[in-house]
Parts: sequence; structure tokens; C-alpha cells
Amino acid sequence: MELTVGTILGFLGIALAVALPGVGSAIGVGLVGTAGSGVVTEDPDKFGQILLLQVIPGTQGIYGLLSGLLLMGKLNVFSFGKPVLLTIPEGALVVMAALPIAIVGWFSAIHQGKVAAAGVGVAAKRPEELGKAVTFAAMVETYAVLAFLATLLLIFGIPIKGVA
Amino acid sequence: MAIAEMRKVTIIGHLADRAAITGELQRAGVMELEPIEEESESGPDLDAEVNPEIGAVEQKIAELKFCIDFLDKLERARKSLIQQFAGSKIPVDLEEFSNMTRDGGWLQPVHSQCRDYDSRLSALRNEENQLQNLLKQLAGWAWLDLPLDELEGTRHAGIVLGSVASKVYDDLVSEARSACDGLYVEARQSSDRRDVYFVIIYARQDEQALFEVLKKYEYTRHQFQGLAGTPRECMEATRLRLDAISAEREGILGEARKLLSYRTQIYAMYDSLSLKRDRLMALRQTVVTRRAFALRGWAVSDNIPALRDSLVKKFDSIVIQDEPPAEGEAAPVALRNTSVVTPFEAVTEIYSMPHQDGIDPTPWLAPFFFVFFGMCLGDVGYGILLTLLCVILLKKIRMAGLGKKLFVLLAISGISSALMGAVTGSWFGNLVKVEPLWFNPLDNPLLMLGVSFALGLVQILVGLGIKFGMNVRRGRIADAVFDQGFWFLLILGLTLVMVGMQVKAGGISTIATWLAAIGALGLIATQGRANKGVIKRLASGVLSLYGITGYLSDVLSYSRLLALGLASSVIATVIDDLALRLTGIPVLGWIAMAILLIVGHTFNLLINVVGSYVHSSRLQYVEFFSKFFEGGGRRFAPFRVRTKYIDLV
Repeated sequence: MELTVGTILGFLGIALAVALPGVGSAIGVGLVGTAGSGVVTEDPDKFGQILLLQVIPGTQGIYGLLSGLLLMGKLNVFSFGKPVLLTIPEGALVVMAALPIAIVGWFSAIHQGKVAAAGVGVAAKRPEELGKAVTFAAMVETYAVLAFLATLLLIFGIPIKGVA
Repeated sequence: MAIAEMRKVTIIGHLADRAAITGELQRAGVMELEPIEEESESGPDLDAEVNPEIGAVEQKIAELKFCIDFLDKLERARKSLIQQFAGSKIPVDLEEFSNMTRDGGWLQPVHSQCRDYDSRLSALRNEENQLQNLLKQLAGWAWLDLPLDELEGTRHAGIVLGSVASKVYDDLVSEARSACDGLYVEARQSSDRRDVYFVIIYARQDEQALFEVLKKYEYTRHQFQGLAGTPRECMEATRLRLDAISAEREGILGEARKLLSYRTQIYAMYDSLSLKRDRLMALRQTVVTRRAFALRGWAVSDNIPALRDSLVKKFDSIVIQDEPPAEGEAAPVALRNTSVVTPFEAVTEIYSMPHQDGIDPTPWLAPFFFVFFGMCLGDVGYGILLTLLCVILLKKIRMAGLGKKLFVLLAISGISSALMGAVTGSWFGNLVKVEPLWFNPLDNPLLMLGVSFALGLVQILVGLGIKFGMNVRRGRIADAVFDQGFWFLLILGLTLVMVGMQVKAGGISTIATWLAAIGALGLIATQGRANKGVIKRLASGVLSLYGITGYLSDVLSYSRLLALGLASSVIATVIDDLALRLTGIPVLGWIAMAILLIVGHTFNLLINVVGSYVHSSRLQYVEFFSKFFEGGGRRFAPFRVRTKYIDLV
């Protein structure tokens, strides 16, 4: 079976959508984990609260994976070995559709990680105010959600006929 | 159904009853005490009596805290993840509690034992560290067959033990030999080959020259003071001592573990003394004369009759007055809602208590939060699971306050998710194939987006409406009409214009255009009313229309409802797809499928519950509250029985 450049572009789009937000989330989750370990050494009972803070920057990676999975469905990747053969413009559209979540997911996860890591201090000193720290971190997420939404709508909107 | 009415309560009683009455108030737990400002005229200075007592109680509390920490290190009180959130207290009934805390005679010996064990354990730990360091130091010298106490040298010959990096050793030896005659050198490489350990015997007259060379190569001098025998013998002795230390520690730990049986008693005593301290602190808030005392505070007006009855019954000649807060006085804020709405107070309380003169947003946000959470989680299976989990936890762990509200809130939200899942046809993703009651957002995401925006619009308009009502109630009719009424018309009008363009119904469009026009003109005419001069007024009126972008971005923000809803249901579907593929493999495939389904759905559920909760709250805080909410109220904190470890039942 001949592969087309369009299909290769399509796979690039999937790779970007999954990989970049994943990197961002890994960094963000890592930031919170490092900050949190210090608190848990002092007070192991804070583990649950800090875990809550730590998962927050993890969602970008999930949005990325989800976008990737939807694209895979669109490209028929799941029928092993028989992906749809895309034209070059179609492949380029897949890349474009992946870009919002790839870029915004990547950076917002890192920044959200920083906010959540700062929130670890709240969990340590004023655990009853944890909700506020979580809300601050969630503010950053807004832009990841919006980018994810844009990617979703773009994916639904890609016309794919394939190479005849 | 909103902010509870607070009244200021003043209690005047016999001085002799002072302690008993504060005790009764603590049990009742409905009154927040406040110091009385007025100077008392000629009463005895009772603070001088109370203060040392507080000091003594705090001293004992500190001792108990030490015991608690020591025993915790000995054997951690296991807490599950949920208990870390919700707190876990030991249930003890009142009679047992007072039995446990009546006689504090055991406290002194238990505390001194804890101290004793603790200091012995830390002494052992120090010695152990020192010995382990020594062992490391000796490890490089095992080959040396000289007793370490005979390395002093003689009058004519000196001896030095040291180590140096392997790569410079040869240079060191050749340089040393050329500087001094007749050196005796013996050396071995360390086991990691990084260093060379050497012994040099030298003539005393060469001492200075030799040490200059050694220093040049940055050697480390090894000195063993107070050790007898060869390095090998010393290591043996050290190991024996280390064994003895761990045996000794086991012995102490075993002794100390016997104290664990006191644990509950220690907890009870700690709480009992904390309660006593709180009562003593309360006494400091009273004012006294020679015969009487007075005490003042806040209480929710509904609770006052019961408090009055119980106090009057127990104490004769007690006077209880209550009055509304004076103008501008900062009364504390407590929320009062119907039992269905109460759990949603958690959403409000996490943000801020409403201002005493503001309104409680809880009943207004409750239906929106309910629907939003459902749309974000949106799955029948997940919803039922979440509700079940919360109900079980609420049954198993006794919770109070905010923690309890939060879990009840999640249980209710689970119901909403299940309903919304039925509407969109999501049952653990597509594990159970059921036709949606309305439509599947994957098939028609734009319709779902429209629904999200529509809900957002409704909530924003409700927010404006609430502020309208608040302004009217305060007699600011003009503000209500100008600041909220015109915006309301403009937003409603513009929305209807857009709807009209979609459905192409001319009638709607005409009315909508008129509404929008009235709103816009009204805003232009009134928004500059703080300025002087017609031109300035009109200019800032026109500028105010720019505020429409704020409303636009508010509405767009509700698109997250679609995104989060898709996130949870699509991931669930993917988990199902992957799992069902595994059934191709006989037997093993089915087991793998079951594992993947359970682990995958649990993970997805947890992640999405956090996301749904946070984003549903955020829509309230940022988009809804900004329209009307006045926060900054002081939370009502009644003087009550507040314990840390024991749950009095």
C-alpha cells in the first residue's frame, strides 16, 4: 500500500496533539510534586490535599490525548494498517486542527503547575482555604479548555474524502 | 432562606455562676462571644486569677501534644485518603469521655516516660550515626595490621595515615621520596578505586617537608583517637556495638509501645483540656462587678428562645437581653437554607461569606451548579457510582461542617450526572448501548455548544436580575433601572436578534431590535451620569457600551461545559473500545478487559469529578458572582465544643 504525504501530515498532527500537552503536563505535575514532597515530609496527612493540587495540571495531557484519539478515529487508525489516505491539504488541516491544544496545552500546563505548586503553601499553612488555591489553578485551565474546544470543533469540521 | 438574622445577646448573671454559665454556653454552641468594650467600674481583677490558670492548662496541653507526637512516631495512626480530607475522630460517648478525663494522675508519669524514651532513642540514634561514620572511615584500612593506639610514632620516627585521589598517588610518592630520605610507604587502593589509603613512616627531621608535599596533593589525614586494636578489630567491635544499639532500641520501643494503650485517653485528655482552655478564654471576655458579671455576643435569632429557656431553667436571677445589631455594626454571617440547598453552601463558603447586608447566593447558584456539574461529568454510570461512593463514605465516616456539605454536594451532583448521561446517551461511555433521550453531543457538538451558551446567558441575566432586586430593596430604583435594567434589555435584545436570524421569524427580530435599541440608548443616556456636562456624559455613555465585550466573554466561557462533557464521555468510550478489543484473546483477554475497564473508568471518574467540580464552581465565582455578589462577611464562629481527636457522641 502506498502512503501519501497527506497521511504522514495527519500522523504528525496526532503526534503534536498528544505529545506537546503531555510534555507540559509532565512538567506541571512534576512542579507540584516537588513542592508537595516537602510538605508531606513534615505532615504525611496532607498527602490527599496535595494530590488534589497535583492532578490539576495533568488535564492538558488528557485533552491532548483525547484530541489525538478523535483524530485517530477520523483517520481510521484503529483498523490496523489501513489508515485513510489523505491528500496533502487534508493532512495540513489535521495539523492545523491539532495546533490549538498542542501549543496552549503545552504552556498552560506548565503555568498551571506553577500556580498549583504555590498552592501547596496554602495546603500546608491554611488547609481550610484549599478551595481557593484550587480555584486559582483552575483559572489557568480556562485557556486549555478553550483551545481544546477549538481543536474539537476543528476536528469535527475537517472534510475528509481521502485519495480516491 | 438566605443570611440568618443575627442578634446581639447580653447575659448578666451572678458572679458565682460565671464559670457554670460559660460551660453551658459552650455545650449549647450557638453564641459567638465578643469582648465588652465598656470599662468595668469596681469589680475584682479576675483576669489575674484566670491568666495563670490558662498558663497551667496550656502547659499540660503542650505535654500531651508531646506524648501524641511521640506515640505517632512510634505507630502512625493510619488514615485513609478520604479521612485525610474529611478528618477522622474517635467516637467516644460523653460518659466515657468524662470518666477518661476525670483523673489526670496518669498524665505526669506517662509524659515523663515519653520524654525519657524519646531522649534515650535520640541518644542512641546519635551514637549510631557516629559509629556508622567510623565504620565507613575504617573500611579503607582493613588491610592495616597495626594497632591504632600504637601509631604515635617515636622520638625519631613519625607515622602518618592518609588518603589521596588515586590518579595523583604516584606523583605524590615520587615527590615525597625526593623530598625526604628513607620513607617507608605502604598503600592500598580503596574498594571503589577512587582513593589510595597510605601509611608513611618518616624521620622526624623530614616532617615539615613531607607534610608540605602531602598538603600540595590535598590528602585527607585519618586519625583514630581513642581506638584500640587493629582496624579489623575496631570494625568488629563497632559492629557489635551497633548490634547492641539496635537491640537496645528494640527494647525501648517495646517498652514505649506499652504506652500506646493510653492513646485514646491522651486524646481525650487533650480535648478535654482544650475545651477547658476555651472556657477560660471565654471568661476573659466577661466584665465583672463585685456581685455580677456580664457577657456579650452574637446568636442567630431562631436559636435565642431555646438558649434563653435552658439558661433560665438552670440559673436563677439571670438576665438575657437581645437586640438587633446597631447601624453599621459588623455582625457575623451565618447561612440558613432549606435542606436541599444547604450542601450548595459549600460552593459559596469556599469563595467567601457574603457581606452581612448582601444576599446569600446559594439558592440561586444551586440549580445552575447542579446542571453544570451534570453536563461536565455527563454519564449515567459515573453519576450513579459517584453518588453511591459519597453516600457510603457519609455513612462510614462521621463528618461535620464543610466536609459533610462537600460530600453531600457531590452525591447530589452524581444524580445530576446520571440524568445528563441519560439525556446524551452515555452509560459508562458506550459500554451499555442506550439511545440518548435527546442527542449525543459527539454527533452534534454545535447544538451542545448552543445549549451551553444559552445556559450561560440565562445565568448572567439571572445575576443581573438579582442585583436589580438588591438595588430596588435598598431604594436605589434609578441604579437598578440604569445599571441592570438597560443591560438586561440590551443583552436579551441582541440574543433574540441572533435567534431571529437563525429561525428567520421576522416578528421576533423586530421586537428584539427594539429591545436592544432601547437598552443601548438607555445605557448611552445614563452610564455617564456621574460626570458633569452633556458631552462628557454622552461620551462615557457611549464608551460604556464597550462593556458588551465583557458579557460576550462571560457567555463564551460557558463553552467549557461542552468541552469537559466531551472529555469525560469520549475517554470513557475509548476505554470501552480498547477493553472490548481484548476479548478476542480467549480467557486471558476477558480478565484483561475487566481490569482495564475497572482501572480506566476509576481513573477517568476521579479526574473528571475534580474537573467538573472546579469548573462548575468557577462559572459561579467568575461569571455569576461578578454580577451581584458582595463578599467579605465574617463567618459566624460560635463558642462551642470543639475537639481535635475525639468525636463526642
